[in-house]
Amino acid sequence: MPSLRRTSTSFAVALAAASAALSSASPARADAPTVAHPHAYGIIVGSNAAGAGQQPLRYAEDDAERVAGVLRDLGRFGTSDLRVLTHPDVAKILATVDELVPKLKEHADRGEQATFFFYYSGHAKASALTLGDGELPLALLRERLRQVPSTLTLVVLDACQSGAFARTKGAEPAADFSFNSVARLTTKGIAVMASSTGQELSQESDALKSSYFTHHLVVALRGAGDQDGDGKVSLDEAYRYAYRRTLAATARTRVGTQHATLETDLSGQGDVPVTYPADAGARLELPGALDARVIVQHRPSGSVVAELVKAPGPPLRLALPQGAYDAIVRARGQILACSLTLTDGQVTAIELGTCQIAAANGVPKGFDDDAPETAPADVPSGAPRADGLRELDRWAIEGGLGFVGRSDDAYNARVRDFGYTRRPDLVELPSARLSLAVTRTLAPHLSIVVQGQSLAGDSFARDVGTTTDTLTYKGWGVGAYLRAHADVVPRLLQVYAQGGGGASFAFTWLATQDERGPYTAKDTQWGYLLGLAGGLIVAPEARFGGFLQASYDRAPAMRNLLGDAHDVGGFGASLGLRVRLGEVP
Amino acid sequence: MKLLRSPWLLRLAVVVAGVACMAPGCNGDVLSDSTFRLWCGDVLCDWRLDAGHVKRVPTWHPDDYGVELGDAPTQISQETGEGSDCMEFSAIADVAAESQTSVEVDFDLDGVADYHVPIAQTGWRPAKALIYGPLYAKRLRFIVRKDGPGRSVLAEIRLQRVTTCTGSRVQTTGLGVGAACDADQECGSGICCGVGSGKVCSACCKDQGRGCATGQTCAYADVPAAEANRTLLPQLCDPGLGRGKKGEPCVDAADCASHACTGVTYARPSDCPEAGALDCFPDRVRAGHCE
Repeated sequence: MPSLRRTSTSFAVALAAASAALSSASPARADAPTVAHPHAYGIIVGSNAAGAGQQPLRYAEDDAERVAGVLRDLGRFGTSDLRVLTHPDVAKILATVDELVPKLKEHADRGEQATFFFYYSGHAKASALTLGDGELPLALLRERLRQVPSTLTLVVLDACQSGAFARTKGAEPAADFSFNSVARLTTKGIAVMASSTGQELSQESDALKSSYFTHHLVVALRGAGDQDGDGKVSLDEAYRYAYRRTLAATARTRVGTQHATLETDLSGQGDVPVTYPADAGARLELPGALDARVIVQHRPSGSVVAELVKAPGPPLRLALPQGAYDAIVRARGQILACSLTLTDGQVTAIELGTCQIAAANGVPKGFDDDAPETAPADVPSGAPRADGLRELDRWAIEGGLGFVGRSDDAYNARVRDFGYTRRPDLVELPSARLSLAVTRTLAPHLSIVVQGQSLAGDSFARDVGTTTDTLTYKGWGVGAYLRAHADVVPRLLQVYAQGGGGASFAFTWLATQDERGPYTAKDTQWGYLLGLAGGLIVAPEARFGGFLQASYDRAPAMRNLLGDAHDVGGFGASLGLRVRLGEVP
Repeated sequence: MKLLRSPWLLRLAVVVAGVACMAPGCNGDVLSDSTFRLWCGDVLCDWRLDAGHVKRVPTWHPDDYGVELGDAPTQISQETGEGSDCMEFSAIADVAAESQTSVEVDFDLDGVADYHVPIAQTGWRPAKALIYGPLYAKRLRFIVRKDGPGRSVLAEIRLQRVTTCTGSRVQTTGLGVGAACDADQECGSGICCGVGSGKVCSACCKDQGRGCATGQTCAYADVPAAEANRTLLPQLCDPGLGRGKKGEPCVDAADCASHACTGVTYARPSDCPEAGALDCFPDRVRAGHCE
C-alpha cells in the first residue's frame, strides 16, 4: 500500500504538533513544520436509497464520487486507500470499517500516524442512517468509529432524512447525527463536520446536481477555501468556506437555511490540512482584482464544478482535472461566458477580455442571479447556530377569475319594498370575481397573502311612471391572510387553507331624476372584511402554476338610511394563475 | 356623498322614454309623480297643496326622496282624468298612527270624499288595496291628508288601473242633480237616469216615466248652446218654463218662478285643452236651486 506511506504534510502534522490550538471550537491555524504524510484511509459512502416514506435522493452517490475524487486528486490519498461505497447496505459499511481496523492497528502498534476519513451522504433519521430498507443505528456507528485505532478521525456527514419534493436531506430537527451526537462521538482526535444543525434540514440542488453542502465543501477543497494562499486547504478553511456558501445558497430556498457545523476534539493537534491544491496538475485562476460571482462548468458533462463568489484580493486558484470548461462570470451587471482549457502543469487564468457577453437567457440554470454580491456572514464564534433562519424571500403573484354568490338580506328586501326588481329578470348569474394577490412564504408551511378582490355586485330597476330608476352596486375588498399549506404531491400539488381580514368597499350608483332632470348619485361605503378560503396549488415550485380556490367572505359594507346592511361577500370560487418570483429551485 | 349628473346617454334614454309615454296613464298609472320627486320650490309640482305644508326628505337612500306632510292639517291632492272604476292603490310610507294620515277619493268632484282609508304603516312596508269605484270614475280627485301630530312621510303613492275588482263598489250618496251616478240610491233625488257610464242624477227620468208631478213635463235641462254639446245633462221637470219653486233644482233662471237660479256649476277639468274635446268627456252641469 504505497499510498499509505506518502511522505509529506498531512493530518499527521496536526497530530504530531500536539498543538492546543485546535482544542477550541474554532481551530486556529498553526504554522507547523512539514513532516511526513501519515497513513490515510477513507470510507466514502453515498446512498440515494430512500426508506419508508422518503423520496429517493438524486445526487448522494454522485457526491460520494466527487468527494472521493477530490481526495484522490488533492488529498494525497492513494486509490486503494479509499473505499467508495455507493448504495451499500448496513453490513457492507460495517464490514468495510472492520476491514480497516487491523490495518490502522498495525500503524498504531508501530507508533505511526494514521488518519481515518469517513464521509456519508444519504438519508438519515433521528436515530439512524437510512440505507434503503436497512438502517444503521447511530449508536452502532458511533461504537464502531470509536473502535477505529486511528490517530485522527475525520467524519463528514451530509445526512438526510426523508424530505418533500425538494428531497430534503437531514434528520428530524431535534436529532440529527451531526450536532446532537457530537458528544457521543467525541473521542481523542476526532472532528465531525455536518451539513446542518440539529434543527435544520439539508437539501440537494438540481442546478448544482449535488447537495449544497457537499458541492461547496468540494469547491473549498479544490482551492476556493484556501484563504491564506498557502496551497493547502485546512479543515478549518474548508469548514468556513462550506459554511458561508451553504448558508448563502440555502437562504433562498423554500426549505430554509443550512448552517454547517464543525465540532472538534483535537486537543494537542495542530492545523489539519485536508487537501493540497498546489499539488494539482491543472489549475484555474481567478484574478485577484476580479469582483464577481463565478460558475465553472465541466463542458463535456455540463456539471457545475464550482459556484463561488470572488471578492477583490489575492488570486484564487481552483484545482481541477484537466479538460474543457466554461466559466460564467457576473461582474458589474455584466454576464460573461468564458471558454477555458485546463492543462496539467499549467495555471489557466480567466481573462475577461476574451470572454463573450452572454445573453440573460444564456445563463446556465442555477446561476445565482439573486445572490448578494458580498460574501455571507462568516462562521460564528462558538457553537454553530441551531435556530436556523427560514426562507424569507419567496414571493409569488396570484391572479384569479371566478364568481361570487350574492347575499340576499334585509338591504335587498328593502330595495324590493321600494319597488325595485333585480335585473336582468330572466337569468340570475352570480357576480364575477377578480382577484390579485401577492404571497410571501414565512415558513415552510406558512405564507402571508395580501389580496385585492372584487366582491358581489347587483343591479336593480324600478319603473317610476315615465322613467326608470336603476340601482347598481359592486363590492371590492382588500385584506391580509395567513395561509397554511402542505404538499399533496411534492412539487406538483399543494393544498392550502387561509384566513384573514381587511376592509371591504361598496360602490353604489343610483340613477334617478328630479325636477332638474336625470342624474346619477354615486356613493362609496366601507366596512370590515373577513375571509376564509381553501384550495389547491398546482406546480407550487414552478415559475408558473395554477390554483383553484373556494372561499367565503363576509363584507357588510353597504348600509341604507333605514339601518339595513348588505353583505357584498358570499361564497365564491376562482381559478387562476400563479407566478413565482425570485429564484426557482 | 357625491352627487353626479348623469351622462348624456342616460338623459337620452330618459327623453326617449318620456316621448314614448308622456302621461301618467302609462303603465296603468293614474297619478303623476307618484314618488314625489318633482318639486317646484317648496311645493310639489304635480300635487296641489290644499292645506298645511310639505317638505322634501330622503327615504331609504339619500337621493331617493319622499314628501313629509307637516303640521296638521296638511292635505295634498291631485285631480286626474285617468281614473277607472277598478284601481289598485299602493303606498310605501312611514306613517305614525297618531298622524291620522288618510287617503281619500272624490269620484264626482263635488268636494266631498267618496272613499276614505287611513294609512298607518311604519317601517316603509308596502301596502296595497283595491278601490272598486263607481262606473263613471274616470275623472276624480285623489287626496292625501294628515289630521294629527306625528311623522308622516310618503315615499310612493301609486294608483293604477287594474282589470279585476271584487266585492262592492264604493257607494256615493246624496248626490245633487247633475252629478254622475250609477244607482238611484246615490242621488239625493233618488233618480239616476241614463245609460252605462252616462248616468246622471236627475229630478226626473222621462224614459222611465219617473219623478214629475202630474201635468209636468220631464225634459233635459236647457243650458247655453256653448255647453250643450259636451255636457251630460240632467233631466228636470218643466225646464225653462219658469215654474220652479224655491229650492227646486234648476240650471237656468228661466227654470224658476222667481227667475233666480243660484249654485249652478259646470264641472270642467282644468286641463281640458278646449271645450268639447273628447278627452274632456263627460263634463257635467251641477244644478243649482231656485230662489
